[in-house]
Amino acid sequence: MSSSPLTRNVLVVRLSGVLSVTVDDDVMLLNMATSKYYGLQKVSRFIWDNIDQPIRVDELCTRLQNEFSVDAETCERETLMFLEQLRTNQLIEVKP
Amino acid sequence: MYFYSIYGLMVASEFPLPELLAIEDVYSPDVVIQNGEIPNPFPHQSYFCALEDRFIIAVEDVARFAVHDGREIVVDQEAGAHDDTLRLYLLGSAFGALLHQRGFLPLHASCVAAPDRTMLFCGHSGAGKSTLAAALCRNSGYQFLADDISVLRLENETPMIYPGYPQLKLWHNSVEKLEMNAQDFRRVRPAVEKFAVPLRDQFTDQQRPFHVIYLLTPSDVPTITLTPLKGIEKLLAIKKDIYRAEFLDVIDPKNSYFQTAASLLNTVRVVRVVRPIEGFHLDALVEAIQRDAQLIELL
Repeated sequence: MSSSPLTRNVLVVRLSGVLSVTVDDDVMLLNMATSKYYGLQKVSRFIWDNIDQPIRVDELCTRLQNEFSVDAETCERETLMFLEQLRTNQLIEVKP
Repeated sequence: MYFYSIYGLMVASEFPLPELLAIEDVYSPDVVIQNGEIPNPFPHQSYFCALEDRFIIAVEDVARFAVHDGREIVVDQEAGAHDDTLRLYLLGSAFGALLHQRGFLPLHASCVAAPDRTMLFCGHSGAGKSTLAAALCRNSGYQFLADDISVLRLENETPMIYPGYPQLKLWHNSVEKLEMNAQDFRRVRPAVEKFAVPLRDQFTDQQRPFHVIYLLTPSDVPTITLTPLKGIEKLLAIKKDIYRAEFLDVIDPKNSYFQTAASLLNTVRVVRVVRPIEGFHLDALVEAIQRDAQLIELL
């Protein structure tokens, strides 16, 4: 179990025991290991959609900036915060 | 053998099941129900569990059921158990398990159809789904598709409902409210004031697309309110009304029901109907539902 620090250079990817389904414009996750459900919309949904394969955080931020109007600094800060939440809830894996 | 059609399945049964829709002999039934011996390692208890490739349901003093592969139900009836009670559990829990084994989504819901719209009423016991369905079918010309368990399946990306059988289960006060006489009907099981009310004229056994799910929610409020739900709210709400959801831990450990439910709900309107706990409000509910139907037309 890696506990790499979350920075713009690391890779992030979904954990395999997490089911995701789409209902209308939302995505709902079921973490089978913890039996917890999560709802994702808009930005959080976009992030989840883009981490189905391992992706570097800086590449993820580039995609986010292309899709949403946000400056690079805010984007990186908030994306890292959100990814940390996903990691705490055992939804993603972080690789150096 | 007796032959029936239910939820789009052809059933051959050693037991007569008079509440179901009878059909001609079937050469290759989808489901077979027969007597058999089922060991009881825990007498004097009700429980369910997996035993090898069978799902076992034990109902104390009534029967044990072994459900296999969505195709077979073996029934071991306890001596002295009343046939009506046996059928209640056979058509309830045992069939619920079978439906889960097949990957169908059974909801705790009744289903009725207006000419241009098929709707489900979800809710737990006492929420009013059977009473509302009965009122619409008897008084407003709706067709009757199911009471208690509504079976939903996605066919070619269209969410469909597969009708059950032409009978409702109504409590004594509902029977009276609908201006019927409880003495005309048999009890669903001895010593319980719930009655089996046939509804054969209004019943239709044709599967069809459904358009809206109403979640009946009694609450401490003064009036009826309707709130459409969006996205994952729909899934979270419906999850609570999956029939015998507790069986899923055993029958569906990979949680495939989750994807099935999400796909079914994508194009379906889901509306929470909050109603006051006290009283029936039947006329007000019927009116609210019909007004909502007109709203859908405008969308």
